[in-house]
Amino acid sequence: MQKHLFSGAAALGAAMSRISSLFTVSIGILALAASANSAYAANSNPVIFVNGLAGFDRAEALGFKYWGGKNDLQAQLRNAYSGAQPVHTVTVGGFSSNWDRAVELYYQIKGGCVDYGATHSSAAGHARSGRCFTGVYPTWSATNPVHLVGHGLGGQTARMLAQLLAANGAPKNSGLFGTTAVSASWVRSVSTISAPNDGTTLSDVIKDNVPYVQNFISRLAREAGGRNDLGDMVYDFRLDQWNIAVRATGESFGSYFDRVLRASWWYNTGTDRAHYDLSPKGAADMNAWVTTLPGVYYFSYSTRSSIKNTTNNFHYPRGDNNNMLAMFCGPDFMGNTTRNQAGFPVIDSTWWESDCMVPTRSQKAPTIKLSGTSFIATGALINDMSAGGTPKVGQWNWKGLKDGVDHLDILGWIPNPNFDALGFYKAHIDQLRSL
Amino acid sequence: MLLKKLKQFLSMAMLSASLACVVAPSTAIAAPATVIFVHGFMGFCEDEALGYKYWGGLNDIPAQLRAAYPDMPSYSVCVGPLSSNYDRAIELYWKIKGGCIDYGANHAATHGHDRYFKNSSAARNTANTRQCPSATATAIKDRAVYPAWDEAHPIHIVAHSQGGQTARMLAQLLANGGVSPESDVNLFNGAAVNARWIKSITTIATPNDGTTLVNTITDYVPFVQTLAAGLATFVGANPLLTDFAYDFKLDQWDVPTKSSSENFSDYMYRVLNNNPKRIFTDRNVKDISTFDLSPDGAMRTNDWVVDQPDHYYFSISTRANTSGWISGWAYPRWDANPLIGLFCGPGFMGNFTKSTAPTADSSWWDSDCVVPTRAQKAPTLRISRSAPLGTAPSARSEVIKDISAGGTPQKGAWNWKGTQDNFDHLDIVGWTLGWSSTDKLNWYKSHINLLRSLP
Repeated sequence: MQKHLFSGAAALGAAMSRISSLFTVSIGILALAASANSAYAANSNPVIFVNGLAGFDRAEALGFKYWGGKNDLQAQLRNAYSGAQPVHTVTVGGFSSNWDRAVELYYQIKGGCVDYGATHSSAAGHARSGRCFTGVYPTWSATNPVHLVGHGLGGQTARMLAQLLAANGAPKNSGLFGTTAVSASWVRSVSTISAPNDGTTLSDVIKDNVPYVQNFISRLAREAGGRNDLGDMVYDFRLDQWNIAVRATGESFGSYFDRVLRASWWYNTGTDRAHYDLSPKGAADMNAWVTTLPGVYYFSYSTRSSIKNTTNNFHYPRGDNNNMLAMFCGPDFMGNTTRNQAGFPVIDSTWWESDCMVPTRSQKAPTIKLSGTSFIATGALINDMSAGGTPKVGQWNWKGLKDGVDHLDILGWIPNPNFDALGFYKAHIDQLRSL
Repeated sequence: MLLKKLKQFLSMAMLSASLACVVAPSTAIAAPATVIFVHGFMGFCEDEALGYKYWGGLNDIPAQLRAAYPDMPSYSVCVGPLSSNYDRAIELYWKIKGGCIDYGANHAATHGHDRYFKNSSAARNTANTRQCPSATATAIKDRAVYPAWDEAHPIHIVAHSQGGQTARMLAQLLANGGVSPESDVNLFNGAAVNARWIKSITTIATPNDGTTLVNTITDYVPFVQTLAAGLATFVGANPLLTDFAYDFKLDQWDVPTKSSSENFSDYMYRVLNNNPKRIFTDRNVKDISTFDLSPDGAMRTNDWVVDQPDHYYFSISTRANTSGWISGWAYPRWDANPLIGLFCGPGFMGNFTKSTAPTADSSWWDSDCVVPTRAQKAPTLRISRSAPLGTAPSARSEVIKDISAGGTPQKGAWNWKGTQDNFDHLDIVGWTLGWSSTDKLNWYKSHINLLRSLP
């Protein structure tokens, strides 16, 4: 603590020595804001950002950033703390199961070669080993924990990793991380942003993912300013464990894209895939064993970009939504879907409100879990911090609803005049530093 | 081989000579006539969409053709992007000829919309001039595309998508002498209209038998919104769409135009969600594009919009899906325009079947991501306009002549120019960099040359 206070003061001193009076004034404001919030950061544990469905790394998508779009949030946040707060964006399989993603996440942070676990790999029917990483934080341990911040599916992945660390993979795959003395203490906090903690009905509504995946990546290429024929697009599906080869040298993006989309994997009926984990049933299945750990702080943010039509009560997309996903807010997708079927969670009109990817009600906390063949309450404790307050450990500290912010706005993909992405993430990191 | 070609040449020359004798002894066989380009669903005028052109995208195909063929000028005309074919046909007439848009009292009363396109002019290619009643007749004619249009000065219509249905319907209204299906008479203010005002109709990627895409959508609002917003970003509007210019032209349905202080996204939301007659959600509203585009709607149009013996019909089909996937369904080609790519696939047309009449089976899966390829060749099925819902269609008596490998067009028949494979619904109007400016212009030029060759 002393150390951090000192380095913070040194940074401030260095900044104050600059000549520009304008700059001095702004630093003064920052200092005031900091004193009101977290003048003395209690920790500067690394903050690890985890991508959601269809995510991509910094070298992909022509420089368009998953975190920030045309703004580089990782660089901006590092800069905002003058390097005193480590911030890392890591990338895990965009279509893989939370299990596979959680394991990849572990090795992305710690370094080493991905081992999905003997029991898991054999049950899932995929390769046991994956890619190797140098790790963004090799000294990661119980005494050097991290904050995990996940968007969308990434929120589920972060929760799962915390659970896997808590019991080294048990009961699903004991000894998942070998002899490394992993524990729940490795994770200081888990933040879920627009995460389908109770699943998303979109996963049930869409029966065949392939054209949607194609559409999304094709639109992403254009969003990133790429060529209309995708000739310059860079995107990695990260499905190596399923024997879907990475793009070969000399293989055009179109050929690679077509080859991956034609893989039979998309039609697997198995549950070891993002599509299942994202569904209300899959999420409840996960919520049965991925618990709210007593030593971990959980935070959640909810988003909404649908509007209820008073004539038919269905939800429709706002006019200013990102059209990559606006349609999904409406009828035919989440805006009017219902389900009352044995073996599945009951879906009623409370699920219609959404951010065009995830129903808003699903984002606050995991509340539904599978127990035998029925769906019951998880009993997760929710601490409403939407109007402020002190975070509670071992609880879901709900930071409130961002209205008019869709599932991609929250990442800063489209500049939204009602939403300042950098300010939002900076404020949240301040919160994490205060723990 | 050479002999065969020589024979062909001689016979064509003789045929031409004989026709020239009949038609116009003193001139060449080709009779240049003005060409009118008509856009489809969600189309727009030349001064909308930030300068992106419906016909040509980054190129202005009608302008290029006009320059290339000054004696046979091409013009694009814009009509309601979401309106019914009937309303669009009336708008098309007045925008070509000049005058105030009057849908007919009976038609308006039957369908519950206003008789006039509210205080609007028939301005040729601009979206925003709506002052017809106070304008002088001269001014109106100045804004019309082709005020001289009549039987002696007929036109060719080249239409894309829904525009093809619109053109056919206008032809029928002209052939009827200006009588609407709702028994309005004198729709065209005394003009002595007849079928010969039109020489030919070309339908490019037109849902002549309808599109099952409409069947797969139960609430059009989010789809139209996605298409409109997608169009905006596609043509380069800023992400918040504040600089986008687009007019839904639904004045007859009491939908006010965008106010200058209104954001496009707010205007779009208002038009789609808060239009007074709920035209996109109330399925009793039939006088709307979404019904006319459905197989049921298209086949009911095909019942009374018949093929005119005086016209040449041309059709061009498009296909942008791939097949041979594990599921057996149709999928978009990977390079399909993402505005519409999704619609080629399962969940939309790629695996849609319907067991109630009018039925749809796997022959409807191939598509250009908006219209099934099989629906584009010609109108082939019809359902009596007054028949109850669920009535099965019957065969139409059209004549189809395959000229995909060449051949002489036949009057009164559907001269099918073949399927442009790997062309999605928007590629064919030039919304792609995958088709060079030269190639797309040449493709359209070759069609104009075909039209010029008609006797």
